Amino acid sequence: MECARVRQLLSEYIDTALDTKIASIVEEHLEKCKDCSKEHASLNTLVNALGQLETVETPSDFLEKVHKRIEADSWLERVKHFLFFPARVKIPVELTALATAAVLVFIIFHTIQDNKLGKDLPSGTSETMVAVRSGNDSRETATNRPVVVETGSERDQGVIHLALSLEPIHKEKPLSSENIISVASGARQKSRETPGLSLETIRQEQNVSEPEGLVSNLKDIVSGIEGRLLSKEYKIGTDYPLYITIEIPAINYQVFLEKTGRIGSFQASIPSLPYGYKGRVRIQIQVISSN
Amino acid sequence: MNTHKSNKSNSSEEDTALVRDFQSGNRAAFDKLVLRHKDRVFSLCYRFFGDYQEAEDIAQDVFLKVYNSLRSFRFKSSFYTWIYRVAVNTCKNRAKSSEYRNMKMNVQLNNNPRNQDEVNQSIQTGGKQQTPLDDLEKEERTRLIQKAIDSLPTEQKAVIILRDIKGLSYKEMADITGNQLGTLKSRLSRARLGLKKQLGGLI
Repeated sequence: MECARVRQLLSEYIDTALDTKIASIVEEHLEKCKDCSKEHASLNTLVNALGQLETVETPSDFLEKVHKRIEADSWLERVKHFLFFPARVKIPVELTALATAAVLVFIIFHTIQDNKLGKDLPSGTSETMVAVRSGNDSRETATNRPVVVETGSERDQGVIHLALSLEPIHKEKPLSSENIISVASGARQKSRETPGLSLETIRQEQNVSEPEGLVSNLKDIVSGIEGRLLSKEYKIGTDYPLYITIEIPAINYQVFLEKTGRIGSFQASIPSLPYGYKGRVRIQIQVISSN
Repeated sequence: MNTHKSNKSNSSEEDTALVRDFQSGNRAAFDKLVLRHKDRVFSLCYRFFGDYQEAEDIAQDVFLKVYNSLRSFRFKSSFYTWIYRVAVNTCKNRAKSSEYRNMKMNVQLNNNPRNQDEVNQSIQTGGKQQTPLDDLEKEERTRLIQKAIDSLPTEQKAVIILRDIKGLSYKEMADITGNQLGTLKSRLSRARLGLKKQLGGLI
């Protein structure tokens, strides 16, 4: 066997890991070859030196440190497990989170759009009870009546606010004897207070004081359609109503218009309700004086 | 050559009993396993890196992994072989991660006072009468050998430590590393030749 081959086998030879036959060939070569023998001795010394390296003892508090590592690791693992579920759980969780986020974005966007729409509308009365605009809404009647668009905050309350102008039908009261007396006494009183004021003028003023049972008529109409009278505002110093506010169910709105149309005539366009609206309607009726 | 063959079969049975005990819920059994194997694991880690602190850290890592995996240990190998496997793999992984930071690890025995004191205290003199000069020579010799080991590639380092320092058989090495016998033999041969070259006239 050649020296190069023998040297390749020396490591196994030292470990007695060679086949018996090959081991004996190597041994035979080593007895004859000084260089290979020297190489063998050198390698043997190295292996012995490695085997005699001193043992390094473990620190005395090693077990305690291992305990601390275990404690720290278990806390970290709990957090990691919580955050990083196995894929079969993580994916559905992530998808659910994504879907929830999408729904939230939609709701927020939708709310912002609603608020923006409400702000853009012109206000009606000083109390901003209604915003009215004309439009080509297909839900309107053929006469292209304006559609009421409720303001945001009012809609939130579930009530639509409308404004109507009504000129009540005036009936001149025939002067009964009582009336004549009351008018005459009133006139005398007034003439004393206001010199030069003619009886006719006084009479006219008295006729203007309240449209013939308007408030009571409206009250009857409203109570008949499950509504209620909310407020009345009078001209200062008179019994003449300027504004009457009522509230009725939206489903009875048409009935209200019909019945009220018999006791007065509506001025300007009558607002219509949004299609399918089933809430309540609050109507401020402006009483128009014919004088 | 350091060996642990004398009581290996008894140790194996004791280890098995402790593992089963732990799997039944007795955490104290794990502590006993740590005490039984800590020196073995620690010295392997020390020889792998030549650094006391690093060895301590890695050895703790090893036992942490053992603790986390022990419940699912199936006794397909002995606990002894298994813990060595965990230790070798942990060392290899650590070596690979620090390879670019430190290509040639020098044993800083002299530059690290704590390390020096710790190592000196842990050195077994074997009962022989040593002169200070002997100690110094021994220390220098150890340092140079460790330096030579550090210069080896990771896989060669592993087989040198397992075979020549820890005294494991080829079969045990094959169980631990998962390598074929032929691979281990050739690897060991190359490692020894590499060390011999490094150490030159020292040996």
